[in-house]
Amino acid sequence: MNAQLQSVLQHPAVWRPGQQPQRHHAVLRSGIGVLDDSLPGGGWPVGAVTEILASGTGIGEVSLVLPAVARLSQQGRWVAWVAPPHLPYPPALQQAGVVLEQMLWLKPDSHADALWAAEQSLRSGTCGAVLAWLPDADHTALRRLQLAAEAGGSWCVVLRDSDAATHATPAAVRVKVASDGLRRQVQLLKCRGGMVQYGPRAA
Amino acid sequence: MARAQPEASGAWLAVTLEHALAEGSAAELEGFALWAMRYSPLVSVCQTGAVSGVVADVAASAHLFGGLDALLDDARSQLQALGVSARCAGAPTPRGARALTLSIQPLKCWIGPAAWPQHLRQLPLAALELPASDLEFLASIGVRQVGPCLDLSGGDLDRRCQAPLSLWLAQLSGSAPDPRRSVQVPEHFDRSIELLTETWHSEALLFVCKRLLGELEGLLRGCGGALQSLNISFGHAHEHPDTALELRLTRPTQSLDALPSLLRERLSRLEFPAPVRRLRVRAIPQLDWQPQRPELWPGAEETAVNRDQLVDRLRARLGDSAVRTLGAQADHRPEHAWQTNEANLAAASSRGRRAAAVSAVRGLRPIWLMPEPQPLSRIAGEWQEERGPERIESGWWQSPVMRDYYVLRDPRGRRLWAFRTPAGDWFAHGWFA
Repeated sequence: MNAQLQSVLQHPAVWRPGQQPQRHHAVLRSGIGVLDDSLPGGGWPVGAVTEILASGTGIGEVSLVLPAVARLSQQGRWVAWVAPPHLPYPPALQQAGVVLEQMLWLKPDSHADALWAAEQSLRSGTCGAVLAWLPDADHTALRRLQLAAEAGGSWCVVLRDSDAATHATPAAVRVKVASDGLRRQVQLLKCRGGMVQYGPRAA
Repeated sequence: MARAQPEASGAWLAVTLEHALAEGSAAELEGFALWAMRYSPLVSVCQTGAVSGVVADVAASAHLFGGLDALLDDARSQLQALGVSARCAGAPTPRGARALTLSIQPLKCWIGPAAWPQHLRQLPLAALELPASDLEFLASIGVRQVGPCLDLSGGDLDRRCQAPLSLWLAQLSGSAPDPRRSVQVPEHFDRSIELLTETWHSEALLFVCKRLLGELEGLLRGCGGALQSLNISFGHAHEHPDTALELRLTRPTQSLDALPSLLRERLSRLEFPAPVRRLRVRAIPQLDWQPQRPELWPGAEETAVNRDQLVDRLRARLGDSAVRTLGAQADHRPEHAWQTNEANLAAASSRGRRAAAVSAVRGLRPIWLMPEPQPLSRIAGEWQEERGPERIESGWWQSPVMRDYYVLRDPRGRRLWAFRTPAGDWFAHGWFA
């Protein structure tokens, strides 16, 4: 094989069948075994947007990211909660191992302010993760968040309704959370640098 | 004790305003002197006729700015950013530095003590701010520069001139002392500016604010203090009351670099009843401020500063009540088991890793708590008991409440935290998200 071809094959965008995808980004272990196995690199991508689509409140969409949030807070990193639909209940967070002092609860009045707050928190680089509830976020907004997350080296989680699954997304990972009534099901709809699975998996 | 080379000792920065100050604008010159205090606390005002400016003794502080030339560059770029047209120069004597700013072409670099004796000979006499009659007389005998004047006999010159020329020349070269009265650092900052035209524009107001902030920062550096809160009032035409704006920072700070961006957020949300005519900035420096001690690990301090800046920025736009940190309370009643705090615990929480506090609550708690319990009938779904009950009673000192909490689940997989009262009514209180 000549050297020129070799250099082309080294390019991160080139993937050959049978080759393990190369890890080029830092990851944050999700703390959920099945999920870590499925995500490229073995965890949530840091410096990128993770989109979580849930078919309703209360099916376990937040507890999917809570182990990672707890570990970040124990490492002394801040986690911003931007425009959550209800109060993130401190006793429950404590039970999950979260250090409460590191949680920043932001209650913006409007969607524009929420986007702004999320972008500022990401870009400042002081927040380990930013969890943002942005039901009305469009492609441009998500793209902005993606760039801000890259700039700040921070993990951005955008939580939306599962209706958004039909729209294209610039997010690095898109996960759909649903439930069959007894168990939570997590489906990876998109993940950059990995294989998408077509059936839901219990997690 | 006579020093071998008294000329070689000093380093003075002179800044001279190019525009003439209006009548009765002593406050403006004073403000300008405050601005210059960023370079040295020893600042004195020079005013001859309409030409006003300041000189500052920077011999002891120049190394903090990376040397004299770097300090001069810094002063020029600062002035340019503030939109002030002024000339800066540096020389070993205050009179010399001042004369350099007044000579036709102030030089780009600092004149050091070694070059000074040669350089001062070429200065025009006009730069010495002599009375016009003296200049006329000296021109009539063919003397237009400092050099030939130095060669003349001092006694003769003094007899023929109104100004004490031989003393001034000695002060210029540095062979005679030149005592200057320093500007006293005021205890609080209170400056107002009348705008040239009325304006609604937040950018125009921000520009004026920046100028006052530059003076404030100079004062802070001059007195070694810091600032935590700042009052700005915008004056309108007579019938309207002033619009007030209070800016509060998470942590006292001496550097005000972050303030313009905070102000921009606040200004863009401020609604004025009428165009703004005057602007007044008031602040009281905190003198008991200690600069942040450097941390052992690089980065920790920087993170704390970045956090403060982030919190300040978020607060400026969202409001103080919308930026909180969470906390737990040791209380068994669910509504009282939490609290929120002002988000200024950055310093405390940045002190490295902390172990997760163990929750005092034993039972399962939901991630979302509703602000008020809602009747379960309002939440659509076929709810089935999954877990429970957990009895929670209110304290006897309150109106007695007894609740049996259950975890409910519906066929869609949603889980709800709900309670039943002794009367048999169901209320939803949270979601297991």
